[in-house]
Amino acid sequence: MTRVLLYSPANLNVVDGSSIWVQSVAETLHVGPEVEVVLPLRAPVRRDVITGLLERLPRVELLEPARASRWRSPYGLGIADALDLIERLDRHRPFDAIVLRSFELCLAAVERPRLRDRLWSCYVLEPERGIDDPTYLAEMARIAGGSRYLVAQSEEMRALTEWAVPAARGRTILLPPAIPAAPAHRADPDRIVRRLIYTGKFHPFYQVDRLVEVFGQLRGALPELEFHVVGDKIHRPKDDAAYAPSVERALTGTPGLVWHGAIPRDEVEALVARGGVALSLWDYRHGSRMNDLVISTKVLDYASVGVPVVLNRTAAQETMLGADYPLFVRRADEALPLLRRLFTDPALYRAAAEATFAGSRAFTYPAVFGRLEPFLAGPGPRADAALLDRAKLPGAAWNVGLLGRPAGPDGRSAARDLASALEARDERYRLVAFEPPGDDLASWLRCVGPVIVAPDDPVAAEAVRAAGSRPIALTDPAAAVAAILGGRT
Amino acid sequence: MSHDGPATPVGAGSAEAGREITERAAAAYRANLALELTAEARRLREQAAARGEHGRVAWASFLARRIAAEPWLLARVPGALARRLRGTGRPGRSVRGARHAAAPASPPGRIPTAGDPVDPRGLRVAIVADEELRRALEPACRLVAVRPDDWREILDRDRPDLLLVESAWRANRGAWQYRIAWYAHPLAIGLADLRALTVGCQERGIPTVFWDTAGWRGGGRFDEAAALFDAILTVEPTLVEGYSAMPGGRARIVDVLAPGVDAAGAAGQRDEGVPASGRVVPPAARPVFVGAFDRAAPLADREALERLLDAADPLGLEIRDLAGIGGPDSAGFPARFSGAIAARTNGSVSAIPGWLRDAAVVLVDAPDSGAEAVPMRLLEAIAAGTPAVTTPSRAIRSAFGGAIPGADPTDDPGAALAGILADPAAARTRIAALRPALVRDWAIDDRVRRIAAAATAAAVRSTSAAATAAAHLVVTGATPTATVAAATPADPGVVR
Repeated sequence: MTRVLLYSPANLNVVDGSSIWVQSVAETLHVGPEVEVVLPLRAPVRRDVITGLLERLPRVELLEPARASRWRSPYGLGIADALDLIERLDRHRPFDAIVLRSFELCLAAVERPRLRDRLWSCYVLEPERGIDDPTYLAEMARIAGGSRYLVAQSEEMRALTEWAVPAARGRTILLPPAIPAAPAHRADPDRIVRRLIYTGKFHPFYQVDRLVEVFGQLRGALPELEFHVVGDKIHRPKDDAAYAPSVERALTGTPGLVWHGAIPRDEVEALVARGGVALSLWDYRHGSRMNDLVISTKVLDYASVGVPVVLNRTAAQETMLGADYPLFVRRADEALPLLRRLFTDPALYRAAAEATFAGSRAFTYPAVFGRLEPFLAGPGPRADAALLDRAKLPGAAWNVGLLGRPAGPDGRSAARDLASALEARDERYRLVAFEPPGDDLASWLRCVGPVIVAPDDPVAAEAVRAAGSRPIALTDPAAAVAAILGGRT
Repeated sequence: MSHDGPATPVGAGSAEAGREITERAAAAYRANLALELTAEARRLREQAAARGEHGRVAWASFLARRIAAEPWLLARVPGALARRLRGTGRPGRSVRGARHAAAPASPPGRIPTAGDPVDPRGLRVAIVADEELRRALEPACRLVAVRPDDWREILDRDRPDLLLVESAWRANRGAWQYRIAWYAHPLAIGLADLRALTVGCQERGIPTVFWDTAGWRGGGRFDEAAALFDAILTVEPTLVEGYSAMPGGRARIVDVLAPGVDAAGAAGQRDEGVPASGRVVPPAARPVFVGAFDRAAPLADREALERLLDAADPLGLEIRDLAGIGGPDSAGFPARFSGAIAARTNGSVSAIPGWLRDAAVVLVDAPDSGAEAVPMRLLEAIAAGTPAVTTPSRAIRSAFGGAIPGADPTDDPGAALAGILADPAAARTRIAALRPALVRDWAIDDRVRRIAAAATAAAVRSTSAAATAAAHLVVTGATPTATVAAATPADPGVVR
């Protein structure tokens, strides 16, 4: 049995991205039949919107904060209390992995020698912190140095983490938010449902007020249109006292708008699965561009039941839905004409619905667990290979890698001849060299397609394969050219 | 690469004569700038009066007139380009323009005078660009390609007048791939290589210019790169405001610069009808699309291109797929067009002019979802004398009226294509009628001159307001609508 400690300073009485993340990770880990999860709660259970779902999982043990002996605060466990509790639990019965979320918590955790080498430090690169702040980066380096793995939410965030924190290179793994393997309900892609849907926080970044305006504009031509809104967490900006009352007025006083408040995630799924068009449009004046790098839990939930989503084109969302997903917009203004068309164009509605559902499949609990499992099994060849298995960059297929010293002393020359021969056939090909030591092999392998390796270096060949590239031995240049060109067709 | 070393001055028999011509050429350049500024200032004054605007534009106009009246203000511009504009050069060193064999100086025996067309072909430009722009610029100036691993050596050896970086996906045969556009990769995040290059230029007094040729199709992925430059030029007018407001940007100049083509050169080739090989190639009686299918383009734009390709498919559509060479890298034609994609052959970028020239009709993918830029491919088609049919485009309608079928959303691309194929001679005659406008408004020489002007003004430190205003007028040409970032009364320019 693999024992995993999972802790986040999220309040599971509140439905937001942080609390849903906890549920999502617990569900993902629970996919492994040999995995048991111990999950201390930061705050006592006041309502079961999140914990109710977790209690159904037989190998997930929820621990009320009262289990922490020094706990006194009505606000829940503090960082030190939480880490004391984790150490105590670990002494009683050691964990194989200790999965912690948030920068402050992880920074404190790496100071605990007992925990260091089993720590999975999740989401420590936080949008609110200045990535160019030397103190912050030094602390990030301490976290990286004291953790078994850093855990990023997306390939995009991993890239940023590894760029900012060299100590994180080669030890940052992915753990995105996840969704059930199959939705209890799935929206019918062939039936246009004239509803708009929004679930989540009410914060200027999500511009719900603008969405309500768009709804009003659409309703002129589509009087039966409804807007279903889920969530109860209304942000109260210090510099805009009018924001919260304005949102509340919109939620309670807009004809056709149905405000459901906070409801459990499975009920949200059922609601969204009744169909309609979901919205996720951001206003960057009120949020970091780093949000472009993360998979939105909200969007994933919409996609999991296969409803069309109108959303910003961002790097992570392109990765999830594909660059050609039809409902990406650059600005909120572009949403209105797209929505007008969507409610009257069955083919577009269906294409978008199918695309979101297909895009969500890589994020099911089993799919995510499958990519995580090698790391739960502990250090070894499987984990090492999994660390190299990363998405290729666009155009990488035409970059021929040159790893180490292929084919002996004349290898470089032979490789250049090969590159010339390739370029003569197709000018897109070029040779890309890698000069160890110290460089980042995993990131480099994302930039290349076929890789020339020494014929007597099976380790390099295996690494290349693990990265999804094809190792090419340069013993016969003509054969190598044929192999590379053949690999493209 | 067009950099072929110093050449003998045209019409010069001695070093002294060479220097004399050099200084005369520089004086003509300077005088021409002054004349242009004066004319623009007059035009802007008239516009401001007509609109009742007496603020920002009028201030820029005033500054420009000051420069026009007192060109010595430009003498404060540091760096090699300033020396070139001043006509002084380094001691014992000629201005490069007049030493370039390819740059036609004024006719022998005649000293250039104010108002003569300025020839920018002596300008030495360190270039980071995709193949297409590099080829377009080659006839217009002297290019020195730089890579991440050799730019120091080249800048020190060749002392370019400016650095020009395009919103390129690969640039210089892939040397800058993942180093200009934003990617989720440590190579791209922070843009360490591009940052080092721009800093290296700044240390050497070489002004830096970023030319966004991708427009909206860039999807904001070049913003971080653009922020590193002294001047940002964009083919897309609607992006100027965003670039001006970009946090952390260092650009003093943010302006519109439309694409340009070597209209005269292309026309010469076409009129002869004989390619360089000497073999006469009859035009293929086929519609040809040269480019990549941008899967990340807005839905309406993608659908418009698919409609155009669908209309051309039964008429023998041929696609020259440039995916992986230039253009957006989320590329890939819908599967139904796979049979129309021509086999890839060596030297495909260099073959583009031939493909365009030999096509019966060129299909143009014009972004129209909020965009106002005229696509380069249309200009190339006109330069090649080949009829074109485009996807709907407000910008093309504005630039060429109804001369390009398809630009109006109500146009039927199928009917347009059939009409051209039924009477190709008439279609070629119609497209030839656009050549004067092409030469007048879309010449690559002019674009280079405007790039130089932007670079000069952007490099100014103490006279920023004046030089910025000057560059605005020169860069925008007939489009004085762009933002003049520094030319406001609040800017402590010394010209006041």
